[in-house]
Amino acid sequence: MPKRRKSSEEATDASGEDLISALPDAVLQVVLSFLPSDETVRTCVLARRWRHLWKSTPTLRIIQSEGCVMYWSDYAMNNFVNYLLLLRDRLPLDECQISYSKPCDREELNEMLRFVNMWIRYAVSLCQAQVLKVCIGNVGILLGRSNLALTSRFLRRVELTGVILSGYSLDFSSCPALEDLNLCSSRIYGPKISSQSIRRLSMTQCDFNVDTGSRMRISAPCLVSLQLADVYGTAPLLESMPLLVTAFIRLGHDGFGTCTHEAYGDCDECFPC
Amino acid sequence: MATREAGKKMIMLKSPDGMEFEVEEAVAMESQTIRKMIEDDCADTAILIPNINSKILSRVIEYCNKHVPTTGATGAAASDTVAPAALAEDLKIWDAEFIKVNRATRFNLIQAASYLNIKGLLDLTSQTTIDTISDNSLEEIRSFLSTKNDYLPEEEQTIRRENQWAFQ
Repeated sequence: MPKRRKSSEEATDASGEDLISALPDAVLQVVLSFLPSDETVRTCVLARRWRHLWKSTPTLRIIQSEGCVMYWSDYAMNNFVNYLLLLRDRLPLDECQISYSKPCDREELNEMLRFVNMWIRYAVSLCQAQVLKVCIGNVGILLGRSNLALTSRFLRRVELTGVILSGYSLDFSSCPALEDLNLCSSRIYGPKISSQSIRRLSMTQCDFNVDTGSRMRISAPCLVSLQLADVYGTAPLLESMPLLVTAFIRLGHDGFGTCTHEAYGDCDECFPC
Repeated sequence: MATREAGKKMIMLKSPDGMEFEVEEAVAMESQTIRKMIEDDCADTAILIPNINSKILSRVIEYCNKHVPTTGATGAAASDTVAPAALAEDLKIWDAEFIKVNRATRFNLIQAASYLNIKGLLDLTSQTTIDTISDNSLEEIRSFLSTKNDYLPEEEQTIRRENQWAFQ
């Protein structure tokens, strides 16, 4: 039997009757997927229908910030996430977001980051996450030399903030579906950033080989859009990008691509100017 | 009936309360559900959109009209390039205005976006819902969602114990 409809939508809204229960589970899970994961799990006590919904939401949002509803010690947070990954249904993920913006010292950060690479691997390799967003927003502290080797044919978008990337981490050839790469406030070391598939590349407030001074190559033949804003270190060499439509480049204040050797007139020793 | 107007293919969408909306095919194809129907050649005549009344359907079409990618002079879809910051900002402001609706309308839009498979609209409506409940206590969330707690007290205790790791 259809339920009695109230003529005025405002009246329905005021009583709030059955609004959410009219949504199918799959839609509820999409709505839930915008909550931080800890809040999503706690919806299990709302009502019977909600008991298991958290297990199959299509996102992981591990968020540790000052504004969080519950205070998590670093230890409790790690404990929580490990339980979550163990007990949720191992269904494909749309998105994995890991964000630490709570100010902390290095020791606290180390405890926070103890499992991060493992969680990323869970999300990307086991659960086929399409979008990966990692933000370590503590000023001056960057995610360790993780050599985060991403291998996935499902990954479409990667956003990294406040991380150090080097060596193998810069080779995205094992992610053939990757289209968007967004690096922000990160340190990038190595001979080459490469991807045969990325179409949009944005690097903002990043350092390139700032200690070694060697020139990095960016090899992304399918690139349609390139943004390099407020970048520091040694200017990278852009390989052929025949499909490029838009490019935006803004140099950092400290001189991008300038070389200390130049000031002393000993350019001969320099590699690879 | 699919007709042609100024070189653009038009599609007729019908709501169950009998209203008809003529929209450009590109706009209608913002909905993956409708796109599939068109691609499978099931859309020769008007498409009936079940369960979505004319008021909600017209809002959905308004959203799709605004979000349909424009094709640049080079022939590349605009989504292939970083949209100029101003354009993206403009869309954001438009979205924020668009979603200033009452709760019932928002839930109806969630349902419509889900059925029609319009990811952007589903994300917008879901995010707005979550923004209003995030950082609230479970009691507040329960009352906002108008969900009745149908657990027996001892049952709720068991579930809290089972998931103690999330309540520490």
